[in-house]
Amino acid sequence: MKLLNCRLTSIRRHRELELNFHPGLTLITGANESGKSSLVEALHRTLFLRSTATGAPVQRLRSLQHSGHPQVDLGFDARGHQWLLQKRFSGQSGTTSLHRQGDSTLLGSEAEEHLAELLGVDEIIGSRQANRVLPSRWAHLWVMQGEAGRDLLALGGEHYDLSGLIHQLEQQADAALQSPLDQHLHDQLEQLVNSSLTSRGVRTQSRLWQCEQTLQERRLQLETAESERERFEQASAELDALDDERRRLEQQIPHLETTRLRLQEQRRNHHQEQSARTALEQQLSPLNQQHQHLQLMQRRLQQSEQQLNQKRDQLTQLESKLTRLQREQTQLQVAVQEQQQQRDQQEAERSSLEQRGHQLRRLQEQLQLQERLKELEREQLQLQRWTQQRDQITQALKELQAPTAEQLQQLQKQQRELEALSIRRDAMASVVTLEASDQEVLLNDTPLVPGAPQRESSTFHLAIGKGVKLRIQPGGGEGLEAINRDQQRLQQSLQSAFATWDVTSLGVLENRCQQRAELLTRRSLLDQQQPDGKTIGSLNDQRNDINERLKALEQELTNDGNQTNEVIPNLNLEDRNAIQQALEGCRSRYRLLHEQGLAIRQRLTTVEQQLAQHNQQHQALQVQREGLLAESRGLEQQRQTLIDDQGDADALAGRIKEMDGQRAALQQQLQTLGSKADSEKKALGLEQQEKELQQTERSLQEQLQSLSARRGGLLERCSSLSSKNPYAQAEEARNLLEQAEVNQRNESLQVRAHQHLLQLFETARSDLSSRYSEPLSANIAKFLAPLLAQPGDSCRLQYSAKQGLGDLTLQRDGLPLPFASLSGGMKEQLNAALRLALADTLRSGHDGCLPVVFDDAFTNSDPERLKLVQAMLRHAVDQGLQVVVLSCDGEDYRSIADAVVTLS
Amino acid sequence: MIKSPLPSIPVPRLLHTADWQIGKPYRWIEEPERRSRLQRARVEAVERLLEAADAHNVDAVLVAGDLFDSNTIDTALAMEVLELIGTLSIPVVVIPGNHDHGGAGGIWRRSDVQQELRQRATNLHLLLEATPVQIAGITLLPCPLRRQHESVSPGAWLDTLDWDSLDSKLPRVVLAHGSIQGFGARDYDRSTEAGANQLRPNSWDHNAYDYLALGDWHALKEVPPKGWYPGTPEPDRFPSQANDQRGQVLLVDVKRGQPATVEPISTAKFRWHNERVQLRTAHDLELLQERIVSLTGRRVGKDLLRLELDGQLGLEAHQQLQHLLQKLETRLLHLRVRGHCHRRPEPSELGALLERGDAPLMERIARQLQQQLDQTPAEQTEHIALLETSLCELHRLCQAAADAQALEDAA
Repeated sequence: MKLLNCRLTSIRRHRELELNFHPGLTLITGANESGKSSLVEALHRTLFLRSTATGAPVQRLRSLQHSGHPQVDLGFDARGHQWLLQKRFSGQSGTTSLHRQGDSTLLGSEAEEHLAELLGVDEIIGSRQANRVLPSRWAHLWVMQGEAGRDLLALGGEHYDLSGLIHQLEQQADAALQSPLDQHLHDQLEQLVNSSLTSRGVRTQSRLWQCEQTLQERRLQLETAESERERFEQASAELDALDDERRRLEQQIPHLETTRLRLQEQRRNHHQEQSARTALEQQLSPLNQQHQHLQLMQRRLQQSEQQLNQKRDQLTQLESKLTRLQREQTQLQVAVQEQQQQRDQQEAERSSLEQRGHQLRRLQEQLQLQERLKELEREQLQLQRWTQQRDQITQALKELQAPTAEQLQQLQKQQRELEALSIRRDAMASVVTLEASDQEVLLNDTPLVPGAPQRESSTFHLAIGKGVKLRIQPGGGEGLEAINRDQQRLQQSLQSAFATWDVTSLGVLENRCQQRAELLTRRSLLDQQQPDGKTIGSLNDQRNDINERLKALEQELTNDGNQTNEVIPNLNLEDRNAIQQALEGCRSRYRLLHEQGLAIRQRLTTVEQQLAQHNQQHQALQVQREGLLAESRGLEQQRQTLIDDQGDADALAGRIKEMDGQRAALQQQLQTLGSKADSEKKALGLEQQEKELQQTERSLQEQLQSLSARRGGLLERCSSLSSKNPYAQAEEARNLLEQAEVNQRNESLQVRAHQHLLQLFETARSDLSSRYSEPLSANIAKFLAPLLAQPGDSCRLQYSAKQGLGDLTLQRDGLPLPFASLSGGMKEQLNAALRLALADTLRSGHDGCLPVVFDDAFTNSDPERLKLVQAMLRHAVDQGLQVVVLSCDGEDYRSIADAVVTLS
Repeated sequence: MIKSPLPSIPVPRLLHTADWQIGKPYRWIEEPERRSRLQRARVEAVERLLEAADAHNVDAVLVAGDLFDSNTIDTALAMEVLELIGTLSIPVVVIPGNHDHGGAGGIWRRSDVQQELRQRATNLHLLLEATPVQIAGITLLPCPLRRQHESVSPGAWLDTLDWDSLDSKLPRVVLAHGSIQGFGARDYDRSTEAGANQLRPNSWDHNAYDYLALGDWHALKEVPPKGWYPGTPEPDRFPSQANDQRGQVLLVDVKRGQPATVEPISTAKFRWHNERVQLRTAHDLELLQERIVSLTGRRVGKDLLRLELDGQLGLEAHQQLQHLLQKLETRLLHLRVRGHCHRRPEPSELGALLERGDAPLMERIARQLQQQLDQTPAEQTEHIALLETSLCELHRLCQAAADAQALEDAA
């Protein structure tokens, strides 16, 4: 493909621009803002953007200065023909026409589709994809302004027509590399593997997964079935063992039976022996009894004789004791009598003394009473005198008329008030004193004497002469009258009191009161002197009592009169002291006697008690003796009876001897039967054996029962297990497992085969990659040759089926330098070489030529390098590529340019 | 073995059989209908053998163990068999075998079975004790199994038997179930433990007895001097040897002190085949087909075939093999395929891959696989299987892509 010419109308600053492209190198130069980039952009959009597109890409083309829609006419060579493409970008109404020289013109979509085919792209893009896809179109051929340093290969395959590149590289290769069928197979395998496997293993729900699941289930199923079968067999085996055990136990039963029979036989024999023994023992037993009885009798006889002798001895001792006692008793009786005599004597003396004491006390009393009588008479006289005095005073008090102390006080008070009233009246009264007058002065019609003061307490009239008459009212006024009234009342009251007491003044009354007080004092003094509580009457009564007592005493004395003298000779009956002395002597004598009497009585009591004791002892012995006598008689009688019944001792001994002989014979017989202890031991042994036998039988039964219980359980288990037919189930499970295993194996094999194939494909394809990368890198190196100083320097890039081209690296001085690490200038130069190489590779699909555009693509290159760049561009043109260089500084390229267009 | 009746003394005639294995589940057959046909066949075989007993004027039927397949048999089935036995007027003498042992957990101890036994088969003499019994004019010396795996030989009691105590005139028949000196059912019966249920007839005086009626081995087998395994009356598994004779009972005439005469009578309904083939070419496939025809004729649903495959076939031939197997599966009562016939594209088929020209990568890979296959030693079966499958899958995918393309083109 080759650009021929173009005409831009109303595009940006170009109202109308027309220019021709040289088949070789066209240099388009012009100052800044001269529209170089607008030109490149307009051409790019014309080739790749539908004319009906709207939005930013189209808007950018619009001119601000010039009217009309942007329109581009582009002439180019492609597929052996000349074409004229005309696009008018007027929004949705935009038009496209493609005219092949000498042929009809295509319009609209048809034209766009044909254009896409000519350019070797999928489609001409509309507004929707414009933003995304437009920059990638021919990015490998056209270097837009400012993009010279970009790593093209890093942008992705669509930016450098990877498929076209591969296609061309394959076309150029010696042998075919990969076909669509290969691709198809690869895709198919990828799909198959992906449907079965994930990066982590088997894909869930895939066929392989299902097979594996089934296999697992089947294994489990078989395991379960086998274990069921084993359980069943185990249960059966247990049941067998159980039965064996039962049989073994049951075999013991007959043996036990014979043992039992043997034991029974032994027991029978033992019984017979036992009965023989019993019979003998029965014979022996009465004999023994009789023998015992006789022996008993013999013993009894001996005993009774012994006892009798004993009793007799006791009796003798007792009687001697009795004799001794009687002797002692007599002695004691004598002592008692002596003591009693003493006591009687003493008692007589005491009695006489008592009588004498009585007599003396009476005499003493008589004397005391007589003295008392005299005293009483004296007291009576004294009392009479006191009474007389008191009566006199009482009489005097009666005669004296005097007010009581209160009454007197009342009167005194009234007297004092009267005096006070008279003082107050005088104070209030007016005193009229006539000192000198030559006229008659009449006071209340009474003439006044000169020098005689007149006291007036009420209104009074004063007449002086004839012509003068005065009425004078003293100062007190009404109060004076009240005072006069009170004064009068008090004076009256006092007068009445005086009249009552028959006195003339208060002083008399006061005297009288004094007198009475004195009298009262004297009477109270007398009252204090009065003998306490004694009256004449009571004194008389006392005297009478004493007299009566005296009379009684005299009587008693006269009764005992003769005795008195006897008892107390020479006693002066009037002498109180003598009597008292005699009484004292009598009392001391009595006390002595009394003490002696007590001692005598005590002694007597002791002796009497001794006697009583002896008597008692005597009696007890007597009773004992009687008892012994009775016992002796009883024993005698008993002995006699025994002798009567059983004969005497000798007879008894004879009989016993005879019996011994009989017994010895029987004992002999018994001994032949074996000892009883042995027999019992044997019986015990038998019993023990029987017990053991029973125990064995019981334990056997228990074991059998427990076995039968276990057997029931096992049988049930067996039947429940067998109802599921474990053998059949195991067989089925085995079969199913086998199938599952086969399925799984097959499926797994198939998946692995797919995986293996895919792997083979991947390997084969990566082997192909060098076939793409190598010619390309060689091509790049070819263009880059002027820049590669050293012989070993080269350029490398990688290819992978998935990622496409990449890892553009410059090998310099033995060092690999990745694109990103290169300098700005080197990036531009390497990029230019890459694009030229790509264009060179791709051009065979485009009539051997492709236009390569560099818009300000070497701004970072120094003049030295720029020369090398020029050589590179020239080389490209020589190879057959069309090159368009846009630069503001045209001089650099002018030397290599075939045509120069200068924009103004 | 031709009957030699002696006219003077009546010679007791016995029908010796064993291993009826009534109630065998055949759960490895998936289809219930087919499974039940096999199950029924065992009862039907009993019917036939009883008919034979009747037809040949037999004095007693001896069943040398394994009358039932297990102790978990359905009561109805047991009832049916006992009822069948009960129809016979002669005694049927049975000893328990390892499958129906006489132990506590065994089927003969089941109360329902015992009840049915009493009610339906009064002529059935179940010998559970190792003690001589006289039935139908012979002295029977039973060696019953009391459990599945008897470590003590069930015939041990005969080692110490005072043979002179037996009736000297009556023929003596030892009835036993088990293997003889390592030879026995163990080889194919996984329910039997090694060393268990061993019989040692060599320790007995051979002159002391006249016939050893054995059971346990499912094919006909003579154990000299006097022993016979009759095999099962109806085969129940694929033959392990080419000349396996299954599906018969033995008609035996015994006389004291004389060799017994033994005559097999066929009772089988289903035929069980075991074939081993190696396939290399399509021709081998044809031969196989012929062989199968010779074995099964045109019969439908009466044969069981076990096919042990080996060898390697091209893709197409392999496909044909699959077709053949499918057809056989339908026609036969059961087809069991074992072994593996490798599937590998033949050179012509491989050529279709390698010479397409439109898929260089695929071609390269196919060639690589082919080379690897040629170089991998045969014992690396897993790797070979992977390579083969990969190659086949590649072929399949190519074919599918080509077919799709063709369809598209046609469209």
